[in-house]
Amino acid sequence: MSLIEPSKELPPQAVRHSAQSPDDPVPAWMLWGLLLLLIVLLYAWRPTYVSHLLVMFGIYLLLSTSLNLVTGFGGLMSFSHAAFYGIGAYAYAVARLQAGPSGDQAESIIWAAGWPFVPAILFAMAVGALFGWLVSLVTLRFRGDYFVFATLGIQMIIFSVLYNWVELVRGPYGLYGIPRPDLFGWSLRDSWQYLLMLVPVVTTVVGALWIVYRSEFGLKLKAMREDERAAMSTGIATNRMAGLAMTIAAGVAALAGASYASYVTYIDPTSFSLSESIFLVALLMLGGAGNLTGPVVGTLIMVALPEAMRFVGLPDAVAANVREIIYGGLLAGLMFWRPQGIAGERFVGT
Amino acid sequence: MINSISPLDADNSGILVFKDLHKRFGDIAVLKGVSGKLVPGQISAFVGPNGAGKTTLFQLLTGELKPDRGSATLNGQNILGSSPYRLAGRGIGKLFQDVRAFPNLSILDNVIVAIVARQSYRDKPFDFGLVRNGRSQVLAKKAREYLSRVGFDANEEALAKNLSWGNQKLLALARLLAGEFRCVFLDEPIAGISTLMANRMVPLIRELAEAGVAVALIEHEITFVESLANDVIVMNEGVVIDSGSASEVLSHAETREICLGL
Ligand SMILES: Nc1ncnc2c1ncn2[C@@H]1O[C@H](COP(=O)(O)OP(=O)(O)O)[C@@H](O)[C@H]1O
Ligand SMILES: [Mg+2]
Repeated sequence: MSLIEPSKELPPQAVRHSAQSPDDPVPAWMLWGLLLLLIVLLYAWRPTYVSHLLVMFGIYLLLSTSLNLVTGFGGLMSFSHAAFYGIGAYAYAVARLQAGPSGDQAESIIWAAGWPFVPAILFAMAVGALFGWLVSLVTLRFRGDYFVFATLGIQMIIFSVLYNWVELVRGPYGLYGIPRPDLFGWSLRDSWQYLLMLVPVVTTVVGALWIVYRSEFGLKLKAMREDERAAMSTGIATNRMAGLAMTIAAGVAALAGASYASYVTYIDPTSFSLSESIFLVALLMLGGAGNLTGPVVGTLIMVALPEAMRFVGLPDAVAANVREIIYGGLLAGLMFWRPQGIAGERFVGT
Repeated sequence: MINSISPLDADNSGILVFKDLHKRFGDIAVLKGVSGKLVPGQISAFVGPNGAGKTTLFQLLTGELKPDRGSATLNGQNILGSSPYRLAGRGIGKLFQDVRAFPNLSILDNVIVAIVARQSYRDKPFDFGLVRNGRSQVLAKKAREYLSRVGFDANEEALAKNLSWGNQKLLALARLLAGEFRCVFLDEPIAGISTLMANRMVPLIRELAEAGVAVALIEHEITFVESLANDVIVMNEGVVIDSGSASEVLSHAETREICLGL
């Protein structure tokens, strides 16, 4: 029987996935190189204000790139990311705090381990990942809007526990005096020293996530996002893939939380509320989901915007509201003109 | 250009047998006791009017739906109640009636997905491929082989959603070939595409069977059924009303009427 003449028009060009090819024009090393250069230059000058911004940028980069795995790649819009962020922060805090004298805060909570820095960080990541996996078992029974509501519920449950179970982590009173990092007897005092530790950590983790984005696993997640029935018919165990994505994402979010707790040394549940989860999803959608540049751009804007507004000189009370309005307007405008986000591949469906 | 099938186990017949399958949706009995078998190297055509239950039958046999009653085995082992990805791992593939190419993935990625899935599902349920490059030259080269086998001539970087319907079907077929299945369900592969595309599709389906795959085909156009099928199963209102070798079944006036009457 006559066969079809195969096309000879397939160019042997470099293989690039559609996701990244039009949207990832900047090589990642260049981005990191620039960032590093910026830090080195600024270190000579050392304004605390700038280093603080960079620390927050690093922490939010961890949050956005990890959420991206679930939401941008898996197509599962999750509103519980801040809960894992909080779990990491609290796990680090209780692992670090020493049980003190009577009447001390650490005496009034169930467990305070007094561990060194590195075990505490690893513990926080493990606890976060464990929770991520457990949450995935429950929420992945649902898809679409139902998944969104399930993650909303999880976020609210975890927040309520942190807020109301006073014996666990002192609820609304928060935890103070959380030890800062000390490595090899070298304690990190100011935020510039803190950056010296954070930059390699963030670079490594985001770099690793980038490899995961581009891996076979990342491609399977995208296939699931695009059409789950078709993905399953090719042999992809979609629930298992999504479960792993949520586990990894929660572990990295917990690392961000631990970094945050060790940086600010005081935490209370309000930093890990539903509005923080919404903020993270908004940040990802603003930058663009499904590639690496998107979350980087989104984080940059969301962290820089409030600071840019300080220069306008609005009184603090007004500025906070104006900021919300600008975020909202930005998002609404974006959905209208560029639904895939500024540097994005595609708007995340539910 | 012959599809090289890598048998999953050495000693098996590869026969898929289904018996007395029943399926209701609410009050409507869609399948009321359907039986039959699919044989390696043979094309079995399922014909019958819209709503006869053909797509539902395919969904039962590919793990997308669970029957209310009945049995189905591949090499004597039960396949009912397994999820679609497990059945894909056991060699059962499907071309959807509504095609379902991955819209926002490139043509190349659409096929790479199937290769990657096939390479990791067998005996390696926890092989996620977390660090293996999903865009390696090796994968791309393999994917191009499948694309050229179906005669794909669009830019491999184009997004699937920008392709014509016929090309999306061709792409879905390339994706199916990349799965190297031993039993495939083709739900109206020829319907709704141009004659040119249909003329590409027909020999590809024949090649699949020649390579030893058991092919189940849903098709309305009697000329395609005549030229492709070894066996024909005529369905109407959830039951098989006629079945047998193609020449025999298609000679029955009633069958011709049902097929042509569409
Ligand atoms: N998920 C469903 N829920 C309710 N009814 C369905 C569903 N799927 C199919 N049906 C009904 O079952 C009957 C058979 O459908 P189908 O198997 O698609 O037929 P065919 O493929 O032979 O045209 C139709 O009447 C259809 O409306
Ligand atoms: Mg049908």
